[in-house]
Amino acid sequence: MIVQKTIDMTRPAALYLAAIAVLILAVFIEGRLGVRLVSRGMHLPLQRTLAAGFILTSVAAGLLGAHRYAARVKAPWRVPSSQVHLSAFAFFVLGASAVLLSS
Amino acid sequence: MYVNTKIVKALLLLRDINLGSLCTVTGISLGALSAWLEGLNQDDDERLSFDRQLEVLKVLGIVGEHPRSDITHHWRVREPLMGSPDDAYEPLKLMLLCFGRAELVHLSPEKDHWVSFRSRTYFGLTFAQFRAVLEIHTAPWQSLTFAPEQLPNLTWADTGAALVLDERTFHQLTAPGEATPAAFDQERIRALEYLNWNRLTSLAAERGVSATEIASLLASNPLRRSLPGPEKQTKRPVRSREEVQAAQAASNEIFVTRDAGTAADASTSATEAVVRVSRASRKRGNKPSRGAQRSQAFVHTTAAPSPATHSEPRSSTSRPSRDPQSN
Repeated sequence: MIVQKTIDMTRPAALYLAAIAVLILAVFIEGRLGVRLVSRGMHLPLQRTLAAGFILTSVAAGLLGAHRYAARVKAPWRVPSSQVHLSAFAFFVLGASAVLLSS
Repeated sequence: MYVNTKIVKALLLLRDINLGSLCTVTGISLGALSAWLEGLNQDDDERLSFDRQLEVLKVLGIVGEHPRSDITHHWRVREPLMGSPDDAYEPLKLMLLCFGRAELVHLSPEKDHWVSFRSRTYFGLTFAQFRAVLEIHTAPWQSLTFAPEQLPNLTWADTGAALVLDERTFHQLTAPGEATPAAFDQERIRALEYLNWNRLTSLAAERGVSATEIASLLASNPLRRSLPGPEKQTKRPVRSREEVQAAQAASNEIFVTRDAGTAADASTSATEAVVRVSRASRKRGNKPSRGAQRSQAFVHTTAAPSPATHSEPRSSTSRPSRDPQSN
């Protein structure tokens, strides 16, 4: 039996793609279909500014995650998978918060 | 002869055993153990006899002058969140200076977890006498600062092969007390063979040799090979049993003698003694057969560091950096 040399990272990658798909779908439902995913009872000062801030930090976390993912592919012994997961988690949570605030 | 407490303290850190647990297992009082390890009293042997010291070593996995070869040792290093990680690798450095050359492979499951916020990286260490799994803990957001090329006597196996294992085998190899040295060697050789076959394929393609030609060559010259297991320990002559604190601090041997002189002398004489013993045992031993020599060459190139290289002077020599993904 020949052992494969590279680590299969499709499982977390699939999860990241699913998270991105969920966010895009939420934006689409809110923006295009006009369906409210959350109640409109929440009103914060500078809500739109906050949402924009969350979007920017979410994008930054996503980019960082992609960078760490590429680094892990290159040297899996140096970059732990938790590093990629944390960035992806931050990307999703911040992105979801931005969607909620902008609705 | 007495036990070098520097090695004992390093092993305690690597095996993640605290003094309390060690006291419970060995039945030695905490005061006596602390005094011995810290060198607080003038005559340590009065408080902790040599036999008891050997018992401590046994609990830490050392029987004779090397860690046991019939088990796979499990060592842990915790990289600090802040500050220099060099101190964290100091115990490992001591082990490498004490027990000679080791080859390193990265152990990894073939598939990444869906989600994991735990950061543990595993490496397999193949010493001439024994096998060990090195588990490195880091903060989840932290990259590993482990640099094998900066540690003495440590090199990547082959061109930095990774042991990419199915999840069951991975858990077996990395769970403390689960892996056997034979299983570890088997997986290691399997991974290295993969690389060697790839290398052979590209070499044959470069030289324009077809697979049929190689097959016919093999058919006409049948070769035998076997998986090398952990090598048997060689006994060193017993030295006199006395205590020297300065020599202990400088030496990287488990057992240190008083007549070792100054720290530098102690280190040099210990190394020379090891080399002398090794040479003498080679002279005394029967000349290996041609088949055995071939088998040894195979072991050296594809599996474990050979005893001959192990007995070379144990100095801190820098080795060329090898990236595991470079091939």
